[in-house]
Amino acid sequence: MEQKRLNYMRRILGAGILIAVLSAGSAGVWLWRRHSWDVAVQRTYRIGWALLPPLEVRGDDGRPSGLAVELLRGAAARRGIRLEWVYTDEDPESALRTGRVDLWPILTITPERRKLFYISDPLLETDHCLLVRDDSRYRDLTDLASARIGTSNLTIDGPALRRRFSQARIATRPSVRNLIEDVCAGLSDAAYMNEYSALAALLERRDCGANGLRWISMMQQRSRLGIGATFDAAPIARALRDEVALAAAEHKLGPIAGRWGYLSANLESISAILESRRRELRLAAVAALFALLLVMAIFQAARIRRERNRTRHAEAALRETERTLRLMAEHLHEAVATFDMERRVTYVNRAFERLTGYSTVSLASRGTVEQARLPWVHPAHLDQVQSCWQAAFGGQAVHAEDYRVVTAGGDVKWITATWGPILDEAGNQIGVLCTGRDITARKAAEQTLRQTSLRLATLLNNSPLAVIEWSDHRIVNWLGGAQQLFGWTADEVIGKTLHDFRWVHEDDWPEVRSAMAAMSERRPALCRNRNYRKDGSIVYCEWYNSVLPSGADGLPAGLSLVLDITERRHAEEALRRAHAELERRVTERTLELSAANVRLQDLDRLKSQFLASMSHELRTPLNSIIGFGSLLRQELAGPLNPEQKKQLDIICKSSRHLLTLINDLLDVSRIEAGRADLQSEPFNFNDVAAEVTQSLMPLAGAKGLDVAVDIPPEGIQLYQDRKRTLQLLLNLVHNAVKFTASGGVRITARTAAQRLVVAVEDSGIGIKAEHLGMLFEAFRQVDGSARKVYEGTGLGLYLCKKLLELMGGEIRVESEYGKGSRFEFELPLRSSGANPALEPKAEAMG
Amino acid sequence: MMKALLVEDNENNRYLFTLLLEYVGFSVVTASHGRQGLEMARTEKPDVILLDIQMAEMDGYEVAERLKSDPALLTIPIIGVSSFAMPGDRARALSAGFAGYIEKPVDPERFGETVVKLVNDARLSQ
Repeated sequence: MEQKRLNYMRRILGAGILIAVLSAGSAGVWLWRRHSWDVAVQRTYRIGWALLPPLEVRGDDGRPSGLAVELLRGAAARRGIRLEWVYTDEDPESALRTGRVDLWPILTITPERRKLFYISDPLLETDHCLLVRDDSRYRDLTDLASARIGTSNLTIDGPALRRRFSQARIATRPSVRNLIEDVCAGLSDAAYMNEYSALAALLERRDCGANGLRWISMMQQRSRLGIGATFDAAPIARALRDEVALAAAEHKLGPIAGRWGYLSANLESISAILESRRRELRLAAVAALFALLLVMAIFQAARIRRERNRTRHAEAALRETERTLRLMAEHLHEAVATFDMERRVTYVNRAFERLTGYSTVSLASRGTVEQARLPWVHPAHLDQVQSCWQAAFGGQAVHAEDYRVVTAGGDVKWITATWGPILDEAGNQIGVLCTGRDITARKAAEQTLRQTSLRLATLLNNSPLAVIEWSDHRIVNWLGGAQQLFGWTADEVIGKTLHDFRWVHEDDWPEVRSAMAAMSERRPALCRNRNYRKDGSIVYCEWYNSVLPSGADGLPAGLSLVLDITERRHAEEALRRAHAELERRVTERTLELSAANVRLQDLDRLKSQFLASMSHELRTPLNSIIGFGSLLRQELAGPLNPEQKKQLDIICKSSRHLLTLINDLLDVSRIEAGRADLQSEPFNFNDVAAEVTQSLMPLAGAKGLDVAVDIPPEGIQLYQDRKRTLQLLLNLVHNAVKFTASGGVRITARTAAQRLVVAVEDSGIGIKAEHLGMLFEAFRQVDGSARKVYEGTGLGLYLCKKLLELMGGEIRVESEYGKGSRFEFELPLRSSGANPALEPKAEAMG
Repeated sequence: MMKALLVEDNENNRYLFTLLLEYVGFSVVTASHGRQGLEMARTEKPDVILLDIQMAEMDGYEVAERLKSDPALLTIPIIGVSSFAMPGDRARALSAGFAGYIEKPVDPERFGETVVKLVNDARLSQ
């Protein structure tokens, strides 16, 4: 903007000076011109014209018209000068030089032309410009350096144009209209013309229809326009120019200018100024200056309007930008604060408020930063931050190291901040911008990390394990018990690889290599191998190798924890040897035992066989003893005296006892050998009970005992081994009778839960509590002294227990010593399932 | 008077069983081994045969089998007398067509009665 204004002023000043000089010159020749006038007006002057709107145009009647034409026509009429208007396509220079025309209405004044013919003092001034198509790429003069430029051959300073565009192809065309048509048709890139013509063309919308024309100004190419004439006709030209000025002063130009609407208002002013100039040359110069200013104002008007539009857009854009920036600042994650040079807070964004708890308003009320003593800065960091402030207000950009702030709410936060100067367009500092970021979390993380690192380092260094860190297969750390375990110091091994020193035992490379292979696939690997110590001794090691994340260098990294397992190895070895020895002994012993077992089985088989044979062999003589004893006792062979009867009774009783003994022994042996066969059959328990009482009644009766039976009258139906059931009951009742001296024996039976429950009670001698536990063991008669009183094999109860176990039942006893006993056994009502013992067996026993 | 054939290889037992049977009213003929027992069964036509199981040469089972295969002797009840006291022995004897089974040593007070009862039962079932 500044630059433009400056140019504008300079141009006005230049024009003013020029006009002043010209005015002085014209005043000098004034007298001479008046003198020659009378001669000059005697003849008709041929005046050339061409199409050069708006200065020279063809009127509706075919006669020449236009601003310059009308001005001169009017002036000539008033001066009594006869003009003949001659249209010519020829360029004005040659037309004047050859004398084909005497005058030319308006011509650019150049030194070259002044040598060839006369040109009057300037009537008008104009800038030149280039018109290009609006859609073309041409924006300024430099774009046109090698373009095709069309120019009119009439008023244009050709050499000047060629100087300016030395690379361009310049073509001459007869009229301005031709030039514009060429541009529109694309035959040329630009039309070069004075700004009058350009303005007229644009105002008449003589453009390319949809595609407008754009104006590129050539400001340095200012032209002054005067009336051209042969040297002979020079006084006429001078007179015409004076007359125009006079007419302007007398307001006679109005109607003429009115036809060229865009000039009219200004020509009013021109007239007024020129009138006063007649009276006073100095005034005239001033008037001319104003006139020129105003003329220039016309063609500047469009430019200014355009400029204003551009400015408006620029301002809108600026406002938009500012709004956007503010929005961005508001939504920035970073805290932003600005200060003016008085160190007052001018703005803080939301992030700043969130961070410190202070708002723009609350900070502004505190005055300058110095007065407020930087309220949010932690006292410990005040000096540090102050120095940053000083630097920032001194124009430097500074970054504040991490420091703490205390928020309005009293919280302490870590932040990092950057300070920088705010400059205006001229580069003067107008404030300071501060941006900051909350790094409390990062600080905390750093703190944690530091502590963790410290803990880890402490842990590693106090570890009994050797801690070895690797990078690219080289040792980079030698920590913990590494030196103690292997003997080398860190300095001796750091930087070395496994192969660089005698460390791995030759025979253990396969294990080490496979661990290394696992590591290279980023898998942890456990490796047990032997290592050499520095002193050459061997140590058994257990390596716990893990993969570390690659460092910044991207090389593979790992960590090994190494445990000395030498002692463990020795212990394991000893254990293994002991174990092997034990194994050997066990095997030996097992062999012995199995041999013994075979022998035992043989013995057992022999025993069973023996017992079975014995039993059979014993029965045959017993048959005779019992049989004939009984015959004799019954006196079937003859009468007996009482002594004989008594002795025969003893024989009978003893032989029956012997039979029971043999039977029990046989049963026990069968049961223990697992060969006791059970025969299930349906029967009624009542019959069994009756059989038992019947068979024992004589004995009981002899002892004066009462045998009571308490069984449900309908009886209890069983599916069991009848003989064994009988044997059980008989055994218990016989015992009861045997061990009871007085009182009675009672048999009760009932069913419960599909089982037969039988109790045999007596009022006998009973059993001592300490003997109850061994009551059902083989060959035990509870009280040794009882044997003297009562006969028994000691096998009876044991046999009962074994039989009941075999039949799915059980037996219990309650007894009070001296008062009597109560034996109770129970049996399933039905024997369980298929019993192999049901199958008849053909055994050769004899 | 019913006739009983006693086949028993033990002389003492022959004597004892003969006495016991005669006391309950049998006329008793005896054989000391199986083959003789078979011959006597054919010639004597006894009402009952008491057969010892354990005998040398031809045991009780074989004798019984032959007796049962002779239609003329088929109906004579056979009572096994044995010192085999294993539980399966009684079942085996009964399943071989014996009318009864008495274990040795016998109860002399009940032996005769038992034989009479078994003969009566066998007759009733025929």
